[in-house]
This record gives sequence, C-alpha cells and structure tokens, in this order.
Amino acid sequence: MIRDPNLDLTSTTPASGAASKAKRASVSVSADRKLTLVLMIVFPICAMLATNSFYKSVLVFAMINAIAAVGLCLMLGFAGEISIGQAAFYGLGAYVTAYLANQFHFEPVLAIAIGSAVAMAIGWGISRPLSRLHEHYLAMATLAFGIIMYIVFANARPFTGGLDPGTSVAKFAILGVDLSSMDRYFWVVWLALGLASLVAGNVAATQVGRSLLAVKMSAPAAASVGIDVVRAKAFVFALGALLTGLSGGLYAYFSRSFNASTFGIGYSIELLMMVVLGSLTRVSGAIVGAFIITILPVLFEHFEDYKTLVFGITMVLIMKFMPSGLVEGLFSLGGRLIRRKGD
Amino acid sequence: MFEQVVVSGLTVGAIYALIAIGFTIVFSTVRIVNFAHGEFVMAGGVLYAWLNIVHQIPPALSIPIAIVGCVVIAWLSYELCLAGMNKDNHIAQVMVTLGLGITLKGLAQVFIGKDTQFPPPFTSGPPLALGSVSVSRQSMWIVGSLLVLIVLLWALLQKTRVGKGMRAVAINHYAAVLMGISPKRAAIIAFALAGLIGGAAGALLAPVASAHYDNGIFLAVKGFAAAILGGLGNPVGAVVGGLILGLTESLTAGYVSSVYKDAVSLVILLAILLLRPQGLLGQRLPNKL
Repeated sequence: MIRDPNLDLTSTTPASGAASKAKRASVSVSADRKLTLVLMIVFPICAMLATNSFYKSVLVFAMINAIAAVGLCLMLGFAGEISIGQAAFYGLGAYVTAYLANQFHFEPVLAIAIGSAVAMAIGWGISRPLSRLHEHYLAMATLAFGIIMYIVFANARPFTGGLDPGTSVAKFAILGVDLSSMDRYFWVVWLALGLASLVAGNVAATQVGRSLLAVKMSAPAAASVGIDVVRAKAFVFALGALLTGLSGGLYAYFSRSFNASTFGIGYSIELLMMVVLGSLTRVSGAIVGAFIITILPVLFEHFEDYKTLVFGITMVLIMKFMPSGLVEGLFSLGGRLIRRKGD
Repeated sequence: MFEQVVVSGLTVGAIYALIAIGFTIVFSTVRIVNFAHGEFVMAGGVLYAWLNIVHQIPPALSIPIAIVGCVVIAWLSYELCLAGMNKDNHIAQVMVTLGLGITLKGLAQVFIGKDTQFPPPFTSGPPLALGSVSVSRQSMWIVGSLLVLIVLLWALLQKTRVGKGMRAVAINHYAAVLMGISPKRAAIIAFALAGLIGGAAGALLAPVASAHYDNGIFLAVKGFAAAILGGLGNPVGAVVGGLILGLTESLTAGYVSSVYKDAVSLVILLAILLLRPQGLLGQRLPNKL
C-alpha cells in the first residue's frame, strides 16, 4: 500500500497544531501555579524585611484582599460572571464571624469557618435566580444586591452595630494561644491565602475550570456538549462567595473594630480593580493585583484626594487596551516581542 | 398626608424618569449599559452648585452652562472611552463605563471639592397651594421640565431625520448601516442627549436633595431601576417606571420606614430583572445565541 505523503501531511498537521495548543494551555496553568508559589514564598520574605509594624499590617491586609480577589477572579475571569456586589459576601463573612465570636464565644477559627459557609450559602442561593441573567443585567443585579446588603448592614444595628458604634471582636487565638500580633497573624492569613490559591489553582487546572471557560465563551454551546450551565454558575458563585467570606472573617480579626462603611460599593469596585489590574485568567494575577491596589494608596499617602481619579483613569485605560488584565497584557506583549526576536 | 406623599413621590419619580430616559436612549442606540450615567447627573448638580455658589453666577446663566458642560462630558466620554471598543466584549464595556464613572467622580472631587452643597431653587418664592397640598416651586420646575423634555424628545425621535436614524440603529444596526445611517453619529447624539437630560435632572434635583460628588452611583441605580421597571430601551417605559418607583419609595417612606426606602427600589429592580427582564411595558425578546 502506497502512502501518499500529502495525505499524511494533512492528517498530522492539524493534530500536532491542536497538541501544541493544548500544551501551551497546560503550560500556562502550571506557569500560573509556579508564579503563585513564588508569591507565597515572597510574602514571608517581605514580612521579614518589613521593619515597621505598619508595613507589616499593610502586607497582611493585602493578603486578605488577595483571597477575595482570587474568588472574584474565578467568577469574572473563568466563568465570565461579573459581580459588582462582592462587598456583600465580605461583610457577611465579617459580621457572622464577629457575631458568633461575641455572642456565643465561638473559637475564632470556627467562627470564620461558619462565616465563610454562610457567605457561600447565600452566594449559592442567589446564583440560582441570577444564572438567568447575562453581562449587563447580571452586573446591575449584583450591584443592586450589594447595595441592599450594605443598607442591611448599616441599619440592622442589633446584629451589626451599623455605622456607629460598629462592631469589635476579641483577639484572634487558637485553643487559647494568642495569635493576634501582626507577626503571628501574618502566618494565619498566609495559610488561608495558600489554601485559597491551591483550591483556585485546582479548579483552574481541572475539568471544572475548563467547563467554566466554556460557559464564559458561550453558554448554549457549553450546554450542547453536556455541561450543566446552571450548576457551573452556581458552583463558581458559591466558591467566589466562600473565598470572599473567608477574607471578610479574617478582616474582622485583622481590624478588630469596623463599621458598615467598609462593606459599601467602594470595596466591590476595588476588588474588580484588583482582578482587572492583575489578570482575568490567572490566579497569581489576582494576587498581584490585590497587592498593588492595597499598597498604592499607602505609597501615595498625600495624594488621597487623587486616588479616585487615578483609579478611574487606570481602569478605563486597562480595560480599553488590555481587556484581559494589565499583568496578563504585559505578559502577552512580552511574549510577542520575544517571539519576534526568535523569528 | 396621603396627597402630600403622592406629590413628593411624583416629584422624585420625575427625577428618576429623567435619569432613566438618558440611560435607556444610550442602551437602545449603542447597546451599552452606561454605569457612568449617574455621574452625568451628579455633574449637572455639582456644576450648577459650583457656578452659582462659588462663582456667584445667577441661576438663569449657571444652569444652562452646567447642562452644556454635561453634554460635553457625555460626548467626550463616548468619543474617548467607548468608541471603537469591541462590541462583543460586554464585560470590558461594563468595566470601562464603571471606570469612567469613577474618573468623573474623581474629577469632581479634585476640581470642585468634597462639600455637600445646596444651590438655590430655580425661582424663589413660597410654595404654591393646590387644593389641600402645598407644592414647592422647585417641584413644579421638575415636573414641568419632565413634560417639556418628553415632548421635545418625542418630536426629535419621531419627526426629524436624525431621530429616525437613531431609531433605525436601535431596531437593526446593520440594516441602518446599509441605508447610509452612521451608527457612530447616532451614538454620539444618544450620549449627548443622555448628558443633556441627565445634567438637567441633576441641576433640578440639587436644590431639593443637595449636590455631592459621591451621589452618582445611587442616582444611577435609581435610574437603572426605573428604566428596567418600564422595559429597557423604551423611553415611555422609562417615564412610567420612574413615576412608579418614586411613588413606591415615597409611600414606603411615609407609611413603612424611611430607612429601607432605598432598599425597596433595589428589591423592585432585582424582582423585575428576575421575573420579567423585559420590563412592565416591554416585549419579550427571543434569546440570541
């Protein structure tokens, strides 16, 4: 039997093309994981180098925000589910944690776990009706949900303390061991961020993450290949809410005294900024974004008045010219330059 | 008591209707939900207050200047930020309009200031008595402006070539292009109209409810709720939705609780989105793939 070389060629080329594409995709996921690992090593080094306890607390706050940003990154970047109401889950996590700790003297870790679980349950609950909505409508509905929850936080004073006097919690401790000093609390938050990025990385690397990407590209097409779209959306909403609730619970013990103004629409938009600034498709990008957004106002302390303006302009420029995120955009720009040199 | 509550509800509702009209015109012509729309309204109020209080320009002059300022802001917003963006990337569009809103808020904060200001009503004088209820002169201005703007808008959209072109773009973008209508021009006019009507709403509202750089997002949410209540993309629906929303809020504040009056309009927004996304007056659209 004579084999036609042309036929052979046409049969292998598309296959090898697909294989190289698949390889590239898997490389990017593992590159993302490596980068996350590097970040998880860099954070303790930064903490050791930070002589000032103020800088250390900024670092811890950045890591707390990073947990919430990772959650939003999964929702927005992977599943394409925009949410402008993440502050609601953040607040739920913080208030449930504080309420359990103050009223029933729960062990802090348990209180945070239950707080995150409540946020997750509510996220799952609202995702069912919200899964009917797309882009613009979803943005509006989550915005409304966020503001409703803010009004509840500000006015349900018996539970939350409202805007004034707010809520305060006792020191963070595990089994009676005081871990509330920034040096020790750093490791608690570090562990939580590590767990969060491990979970998110696993989601991204497995079939679950790929089905979320499929839902983002086209929900009907995803449904046609057997992906349960409603279930996928509910999953990502619940996971996003869980991580944001966890970050809220950690925030409660970080600030130890807070009021409802923390959980307004401003925080939801800051979280969006973190994801946009980092990357819409990389877990490590969200962490970098959270880091930048938390640190910037501290660096430009006397530019407090310009913060809103600078945030706004940055957001417009990034989304207009690099819609998949700044860090991501710079990566692909760098990649293109390197490839051009190679050619 | 009841009549008074209804009158104040209709006044607030007229403002919501004005906000919703601008929002809905932009949505139907450009297919963008403009999250910065509330900032146009904020800008109208803040510019009027700034010109009148800081620069001592009388209302008869400062109001038109503030409204023209809003038209320019809206036009620049489209021209610089939204024109030429990928129409299919809705998330990027949402984020750009959000960022635009934050930018405008930041500009107001930096150049005009963070103080809450109460500019004077358009015409001073005691409230007018209509039977048993007294109506403030500013309320008359608000309701009167809504009526005048509705008539002008109707005339523009139904009678002029420009307005017919905008409606054509709203109905079918590609068919409109084939007929020689420029969608970009339609979009610019839609944004300019949104700036005009939104700026007017802001200036009208400022003497009643203050002007502050941080008001935009709340005004936007009220406008969204009104527009969606009446059916997104339908100017008549926007007016009906605005008035219903204003009445509901005012009745809630009067008879139930003033604390949760803002929550009521948001719950209505959520309920309509989930149960009847086409709005009360809208027609059901088929799902597109």
